[in-house]
Amino acid sequence: MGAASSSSLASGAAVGASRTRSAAGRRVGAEYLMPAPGMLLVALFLLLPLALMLRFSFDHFSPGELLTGAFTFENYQKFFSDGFYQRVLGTTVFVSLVTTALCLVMALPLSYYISRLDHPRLKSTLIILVVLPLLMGNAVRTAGWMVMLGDRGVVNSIFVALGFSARTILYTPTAVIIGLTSVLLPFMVITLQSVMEGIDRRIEEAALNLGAGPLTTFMKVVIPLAMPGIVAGTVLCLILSMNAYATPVLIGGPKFHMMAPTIYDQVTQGANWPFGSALAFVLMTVTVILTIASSLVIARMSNR
Amino acid sequence: MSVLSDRSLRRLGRWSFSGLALAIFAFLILPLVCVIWVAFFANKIVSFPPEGYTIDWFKNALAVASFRDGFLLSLRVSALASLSALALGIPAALLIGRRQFPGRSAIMGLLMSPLVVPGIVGGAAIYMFFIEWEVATEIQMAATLPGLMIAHTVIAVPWTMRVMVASLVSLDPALEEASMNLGANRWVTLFKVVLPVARPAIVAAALLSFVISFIDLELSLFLVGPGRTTLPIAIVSYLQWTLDPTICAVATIQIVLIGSMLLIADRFVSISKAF
Amino acid sequence: MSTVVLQNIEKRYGEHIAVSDFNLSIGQGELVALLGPSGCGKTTTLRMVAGFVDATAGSITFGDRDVTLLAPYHRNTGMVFQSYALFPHLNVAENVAFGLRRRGVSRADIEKRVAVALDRVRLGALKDRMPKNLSGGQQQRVALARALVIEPDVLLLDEPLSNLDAKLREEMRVEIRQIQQSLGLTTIFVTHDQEEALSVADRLVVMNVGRIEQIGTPFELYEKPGTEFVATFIGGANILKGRSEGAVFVLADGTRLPLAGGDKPCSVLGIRPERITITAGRAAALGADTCSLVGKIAVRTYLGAVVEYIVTLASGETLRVREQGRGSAHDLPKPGDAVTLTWPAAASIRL
Ligand SMILES: Nc1ncnc2c1ncn2[C@@H]1O[C@H](COP(=O)(O)OP(=O)(O)OP(=O)(O)O)[C@@H](O)[C@H]1O
Ligand SMILES: [Mg+2]
Repeated sequence: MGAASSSSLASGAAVGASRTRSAAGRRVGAEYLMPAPGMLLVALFLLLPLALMLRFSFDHFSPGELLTGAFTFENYQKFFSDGFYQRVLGTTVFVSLVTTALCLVMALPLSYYISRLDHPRLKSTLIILVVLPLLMGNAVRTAGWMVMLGDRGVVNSIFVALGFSARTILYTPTAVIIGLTSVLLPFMVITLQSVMEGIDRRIEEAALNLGAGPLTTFMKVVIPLAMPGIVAGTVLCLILSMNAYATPVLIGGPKFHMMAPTIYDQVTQGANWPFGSALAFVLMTVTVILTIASSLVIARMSNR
Repeated sequence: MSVLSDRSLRRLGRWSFSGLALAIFAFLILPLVCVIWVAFFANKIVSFPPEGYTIDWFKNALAVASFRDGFLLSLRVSALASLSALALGIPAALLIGRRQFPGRSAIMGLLMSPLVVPGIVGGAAIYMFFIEWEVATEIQMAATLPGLMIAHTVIAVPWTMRVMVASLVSLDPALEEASMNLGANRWVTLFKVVLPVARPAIVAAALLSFVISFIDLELSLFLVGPGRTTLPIAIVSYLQWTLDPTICAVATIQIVLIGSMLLIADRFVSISKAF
Repeated sequence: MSTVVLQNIEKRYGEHIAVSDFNLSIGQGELVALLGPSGCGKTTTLRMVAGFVDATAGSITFGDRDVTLLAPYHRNTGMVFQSYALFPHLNVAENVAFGLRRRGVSRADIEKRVAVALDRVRLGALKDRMPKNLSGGQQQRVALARALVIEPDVLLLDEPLSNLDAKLREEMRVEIRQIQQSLGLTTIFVTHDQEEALSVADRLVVMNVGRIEQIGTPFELYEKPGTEFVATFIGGANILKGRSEGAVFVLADGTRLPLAGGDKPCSVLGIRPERITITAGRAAALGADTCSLVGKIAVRTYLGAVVEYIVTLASGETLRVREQGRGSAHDLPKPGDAVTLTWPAAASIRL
């Protein structure tokens, strides 16, 4: 043994030997504290505020006062007795369902196409080009759709060039659905693509070999095997579209109401925290019910 | 005999399928392409085709105070938030990515929970909490840089965790054992082996957290104040009144900044794996 | 270098006992192989010596140093991992220097010792390469150099060759043995490949379900296995059950086989497949100390140098027989042929 190594190890031996048997190199306990600061942050600045919000939703609204300490269901009653808010919720649910369905229909071919590309460079380029828009931010992406759909936008210019008359597209529910579909499509594509990537091509070859055509193979083999991804992507798209803010505000215009902008107005402009909180919890509850229901429906359809 | 052979039918089918897929892909990409295109239009009122091209709108964009200030504030908030998210996320990932223990998935679930709370709901809750906090302690949090930074850290932590845990889970445990076998204690092993090996993931996590914070709109809506807006909020406020090449120039700047950061991050760790 | 003594080592995982009653004393410069089926506790034992697993009882000493309670980084063992565990962010020379840095060796000395260690494994030319740009065999050599350079008290190898292809495995095994002998390294070598263990080790420790079955030199273990497990695990001996009556072994169906060498009672006989001679039909006159059984060939496998038969006896039991190739396929007995199996009584191992 080298001189340097024996001296440093001898001193180590003295330190180590004074420990107990279980301490041979493992100081258990201390390292389990490592996630604590992050957990504390999330608990203090997200979970605690959410708990406070739940409490607020049962509070009585009195202008100029924060928490009054009352416990009442009046905010929820207000929601269920005011047709306006129910229509807002109805619009939100309708737009979300249509958007999610469109995302699914469009994502299936695109993600299948990407997952079956033989060209690795092209494949990774397409994947990154799908992900990039996702991370460009809703503000910028919605701006893109305003350019596309505006009265003198790309789509109308094409209409005019083809001899049709220009029409108003922006500030209609259709425009919101188009914009939202484009905003959420990458989530669905990425989710589906990663699942389809994992489907063994030989299974498809087996189906072709047994006489199924390409379309039958896709419908009867690929889609059932991609079901976990379909459910995950659907749930994700539903959650995000139920809570969409920028698209309805910018593309829907001031007369188009969805839940997220309404909550924002209640909490900031109206300063009606109890009602705003109640709206938030109604929204979350409906979203959860919707995601569970849609997962069940999809599972039922795939079992046939 | 049919006119088309089986082979040419299949080829036709394949071509039309590729066409369909690429059309859907265009639907995804086209809006962003158009924004960049319009940013160079010579005409002030957006209409197609353009009358000519110019780069004046970029100068214009930088001259608008709300954009310039918004950009600087966003840069500051995102830098601070991504550093804090690393400081909190890396230690947590070191435990969760390398050890199996009871409660591991509960801890992971808690740290990932900001992902499932919708931005508007989370923003409203944090906003009300900050106001209550201010009433109780007289320390202002809403509409301040620290308040914004804390909220952005909350939403950046899960992304840091995703990238870091994925990388640390695939780290061969024998590497740490080899290090200790050669005489390195736990700390030396951490700093000389584990962290250097995970460096690509750390870089990617930092960039991704930065981007997530930079583009956030919904959460920030509640937490900005007068004269203190982030860039995405400045963009939305502007868009509510006008759509012109100036705003497209601003959007283009954001696209280029975010795009290059993501492409760099993707060199280190495949970004699509973080979803 | 020093001796290594493991005394009454035990490792429990809750109720599950991974290793128990483990006693082993390794002489200075000796190479001991731990051999046994999967899950028998070889890796656990090795990791207890390295300090990655805490023994729940017993003590481990290197020379006069009790290391039982020491952390892995204070033990001064050199371990070569099955996956090599080369640091991917360091080049070859930096990998080898890692342990020396931790020991505070001076820069100049580090450079010298790293160069010597790399030369010893014939990798001097590759010292600036990154691990991912090395072949499996080269990575293996770097891992070895990295473990050797710190002059460990004991060298620990956990299935070091199992990720290499067959030819390279044989080369590396010879190389490791040569280096180990020239440096006089006290070494523990874990493997589940019996040929590897027999060829490389001074002594073998055969383990089964957490316990030592037998310790001995390769010759001892092969020729004088102490238990039925050792006899079958090493060399795949045939097992015959029955009882001994003086100098005769009586099988269940009454067949009598002569026994050689004393009359210690036993109920199990082991016979190596290569000690059995196979003859077509009935054998002619037999010597008094020749054992013989008749049967039918069930399977014949041609392996080039040897031909292997599975022979079904009248009692329904099967024996494996291995014969040298005869150079002509025609006179080989084929499946279905009635044959006589004979072997000298001295080849029967009493168990
Ligand atoms: N961390 C652990 N927790 C519980 N049981 C364990 C643990 N590690 C090992 N064991 C058990 O201890 C026994 C011995 O395992 P060990 O890895 O030493 O076997 P081995 O002889 O090296 O086998 P192999 O040849 O497959 O590598 C096994 O039954 C194993 O399941
Ligand atoms: Mg093992």
